[in-house]
Amino acid sequence: MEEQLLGSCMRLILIDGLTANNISKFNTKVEALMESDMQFTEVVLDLVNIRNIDSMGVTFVIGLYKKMENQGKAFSVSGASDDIVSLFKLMKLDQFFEMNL
Amino acid sequence: MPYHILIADDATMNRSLIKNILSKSLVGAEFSEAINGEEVLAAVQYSQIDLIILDLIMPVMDGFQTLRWLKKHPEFHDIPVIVNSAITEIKSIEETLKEGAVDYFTKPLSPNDMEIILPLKAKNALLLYEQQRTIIALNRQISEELKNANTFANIMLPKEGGFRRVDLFMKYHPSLGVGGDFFDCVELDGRIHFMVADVTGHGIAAGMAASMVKVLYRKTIEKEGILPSEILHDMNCAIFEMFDFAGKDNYLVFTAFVGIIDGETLYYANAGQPYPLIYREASKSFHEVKENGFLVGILNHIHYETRQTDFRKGDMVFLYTDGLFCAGEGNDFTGWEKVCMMSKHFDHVAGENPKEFLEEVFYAFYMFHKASKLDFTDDVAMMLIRKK
Repeated sequence: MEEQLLGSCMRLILIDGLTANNISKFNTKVEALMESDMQFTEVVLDLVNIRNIDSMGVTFVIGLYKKMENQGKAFSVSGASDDIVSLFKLMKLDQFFEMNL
Repeated sequence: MPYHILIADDATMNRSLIKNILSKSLVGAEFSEAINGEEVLAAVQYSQIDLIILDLIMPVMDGFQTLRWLKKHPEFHDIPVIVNSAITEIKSIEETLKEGAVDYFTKPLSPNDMEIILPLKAKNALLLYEQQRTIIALNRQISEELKNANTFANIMLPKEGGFRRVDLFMKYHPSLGVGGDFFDCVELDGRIHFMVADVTGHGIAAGMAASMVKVLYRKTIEKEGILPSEILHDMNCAIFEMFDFAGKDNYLVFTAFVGIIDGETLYYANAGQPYPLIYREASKSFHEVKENGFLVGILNHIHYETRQTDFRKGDMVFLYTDGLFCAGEGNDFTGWEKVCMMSKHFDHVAGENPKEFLEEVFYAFYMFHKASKLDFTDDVAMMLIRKK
């Protein structure tokens, strides 16, 4: 997971698949980010490199959304493939956060 | 228990020398002796041997043959063998190590060999063997636990017979571990309640969560006249009321499809479960139920919606978990389209023989995965409910 801070927007770019074996690594990164002194009001999860996702991956995205919501930060997903968008729509996640191409 | 070391050498002096060296560093160890390979085979069969010091050139059965025999027999192939030989050619050393010897030293022994090298090699080999045995014992215990957990998961599945208003057909293919798939079908107050759910993640935690889902579901449907959306809502709220995940709030999250057959109406609500299919007896064909919905257990006070449709004699609802189409590492996760396609392909079979339909769909996906050099990696559960 790569972090890019552009103004007040933190872009989290995922490189490895959103699957069970990577989730613990992503969570550690997110926890470290939240504890850091970086200032941002918006988080964008960039999924442009992601082809694989499983149920743990979906719960990671929702968990991240919840964390940001609790802290009053905006959250959105960008670059998700058509298949990932279909999966998120099946779970009505599009009603909770924006999904940009 | 003290270590038991077998020294195989046809020369009495060599056996005595090695025994003297090792007994100084391995206090309390027991020693046995063999003068050829046949005596080694007899020793390992009749007593617990922890280490063999093996000479290569011996009468009757030499060290090479003995080593090969030991490595071919699973009950003995883990016993560490250190080869002790006068043969110094690298070819011989390479061959014995390739055959599975853990170490090799050459005769005659130098003072350093006697005082330092041989005792250390023996100690390392014994330690490694002990660790191997611990791992094997733990693996055996875990396999046994998983077997019990799988049996338990099977017990939780609904049984095919015994319904007055529907026929139930099931196909369940458990994965090696414990999964979080869950099916239920129960007749209550003249209504048929059913649910398919899939807890996120795999393994023991998901299996435990699936058992909780069953209890929660059965408790929730006791409420008279309850609708599918209310079942999902109540279960979702109950999770937040009952469990304290101490900030880790993704432990009991699942997708679910809940239905109720009441007379000639099917009521249903979806919570992120891959789209089920309805078979219409009138048209003898399958139709997808394209209903979306939020997962259960991740946000409190979520609103679910109940839909309804006619459900007449001979109509069927086909439910499945994503283990059917999602093999490998998180790929093909939108494979419900393939399930729809295959179901439509086999709809003539479904009408005549629902059990065979489930087998055909399962086999079709088995072949899909096989073509991609994959196999089912998660539990596969399919359920077909036909109105009588």
